[in-house]
Amino acid sequence: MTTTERTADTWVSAETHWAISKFLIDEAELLDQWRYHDWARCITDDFRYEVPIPITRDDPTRGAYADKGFVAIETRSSLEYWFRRHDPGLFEYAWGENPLQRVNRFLTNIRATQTPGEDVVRVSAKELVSFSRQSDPAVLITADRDDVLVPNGDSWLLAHRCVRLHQTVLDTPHLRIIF
Amino acid sequence: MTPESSTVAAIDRYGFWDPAIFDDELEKIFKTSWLFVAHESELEQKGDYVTRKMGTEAVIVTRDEAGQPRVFLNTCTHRGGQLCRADMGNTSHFRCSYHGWTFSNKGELRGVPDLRAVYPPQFDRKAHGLAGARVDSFAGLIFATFNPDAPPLQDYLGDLGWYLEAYFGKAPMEVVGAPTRGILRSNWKVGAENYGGDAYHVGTTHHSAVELGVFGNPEETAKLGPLASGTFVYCIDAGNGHCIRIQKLPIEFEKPTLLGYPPELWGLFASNLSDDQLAVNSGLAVAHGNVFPNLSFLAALSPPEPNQPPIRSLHVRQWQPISADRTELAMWSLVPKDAPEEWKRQSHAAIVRTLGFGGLFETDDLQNWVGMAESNRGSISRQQELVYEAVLGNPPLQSPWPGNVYAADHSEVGLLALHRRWHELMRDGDPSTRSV
Repeated sequence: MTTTERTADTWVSAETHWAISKFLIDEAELLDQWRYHDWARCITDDFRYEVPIPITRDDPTRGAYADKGFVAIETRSSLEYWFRRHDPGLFEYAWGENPLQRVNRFLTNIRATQTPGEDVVRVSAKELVSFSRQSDPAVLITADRDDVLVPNGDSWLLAHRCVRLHQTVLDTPHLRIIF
Repeated sequence: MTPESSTVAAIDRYGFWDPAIFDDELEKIFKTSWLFVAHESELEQKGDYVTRKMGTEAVIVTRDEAGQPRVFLNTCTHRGGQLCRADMGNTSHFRCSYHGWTFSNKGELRGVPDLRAVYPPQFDRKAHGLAGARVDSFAGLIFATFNPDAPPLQDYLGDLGWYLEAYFGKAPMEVVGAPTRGILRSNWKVGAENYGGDAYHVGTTHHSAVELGVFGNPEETAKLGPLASGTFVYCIDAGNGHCIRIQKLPIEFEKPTLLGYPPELWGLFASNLSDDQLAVNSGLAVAHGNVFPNLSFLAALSPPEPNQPPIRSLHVRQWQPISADRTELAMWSLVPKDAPEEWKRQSHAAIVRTLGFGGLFETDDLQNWVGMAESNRGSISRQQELVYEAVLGNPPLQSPWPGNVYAADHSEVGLLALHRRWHELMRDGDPSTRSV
């Protein structure tokens, strides 16, 4: 989705914007608390999660991310491995996540737009994630986040999330986190 | 021919964590060895370039206007300005942003602003070309060295070359996207030795991955053919510090079976391989190894999603030294150019989900490697020795495969091969020395 396309859409109503913000804040809180099974109720069956590889190119018209290569690429089905690993019996062996890191997500610049006549809402946001492991100082990592939300009764479901990291060399202890 | 592995079984920890030894490594290991710089598919067109590191040296890797791969220090010969500021791009010339000196992608100094006004008539542009490295490629992998005395690349790779051909040369390959890069707060050798031959860690480190079924379903595996008896795991000391471990499925295959690859490509693979090279691909569960000093690789077989059949992924990673306890880790996915696009996508996804920075395996490996750095900061801990006594499978097999082939799963002969070569170079710094 290009910026041009995005501006062609219109901002959702204040009421819808509030509902979407509420959904995203609740969803981020579930992730902060590592409540994966609860979080799984926020995503569609065909959910896709993508973090393209950041690249510094000399030609800005070619974009700052790889077209095909990913730092992370998951589906609802592949995320089963993430969720089940946190279950009792396996979490003891989740060495890289146990003890759990302190990971907190800060969302801002939330822009929710809709093409007239469509149910789908596109949400772009800036995200700051703080990540503290053991006694390490917090590592901060920021990203642009593009979400596609579909209506689900009086709330929403996340159908697609694309995260564009703002750095080419990652410095978090790992990246087994959903932005 | 690779000499047999010695039984030296203890290595002190200073070699990993001492800053003075790290500085020595840059001189005696990274300045003398052939180092991986790019895959050929990253430089498809004339003028394509990527910026990389060779040890701590910043270099430009490019394909010149004649189609030759070239490697130059990424530094202007005038004041040392940085020439390329991007990770990748395409250009016929490199222009310094400081005073504007401009170089062709053959490294010749072509442009000097106000040449006649600034410099005397005898100023010789030819004397100020970019510092270039020796460059050669093998099985699509481009290597470079600034050492004029290094042996030819093929001799340097020695017995490992045959295996690199088998895994990387069976078809034209391409990089998916670009390398993923991250900081590993540990020593480069910790990763290199792990990939070189450490299967012993899998049961503990990757316990959760095993339990979750990433190695596939035993019932599905049994459907591939009758269970076979004999040897299925080989740890190979390929000489010159190179090592590889090959693990096959314990199945009797009627014909060469390139598990995880689209069957329509098997014929192409076979046409590029000898019978024995086909054999190290057939029935393969996993192969992983390390090209001395810091290029690791892994041919994985894992299901991209639960309950899907396993797919093959070819993974390359480089441990780029920054300091004794800091490394930039770069990872590439390689796929056969002729594979269907959806297959390429699934192959890449499967490896990202296991060995990407958020991968099921990688997350736990990273914790181990960083923890080792954190727990060996003091001089008392550094005086402790490390144990490398698992030299199982001695003596080596009589095998048609090159190198010394040890028929044992958890043998540490590969790790010892890496450390033995490291000690030789650190001791006498002579890159022409063969492993003894």
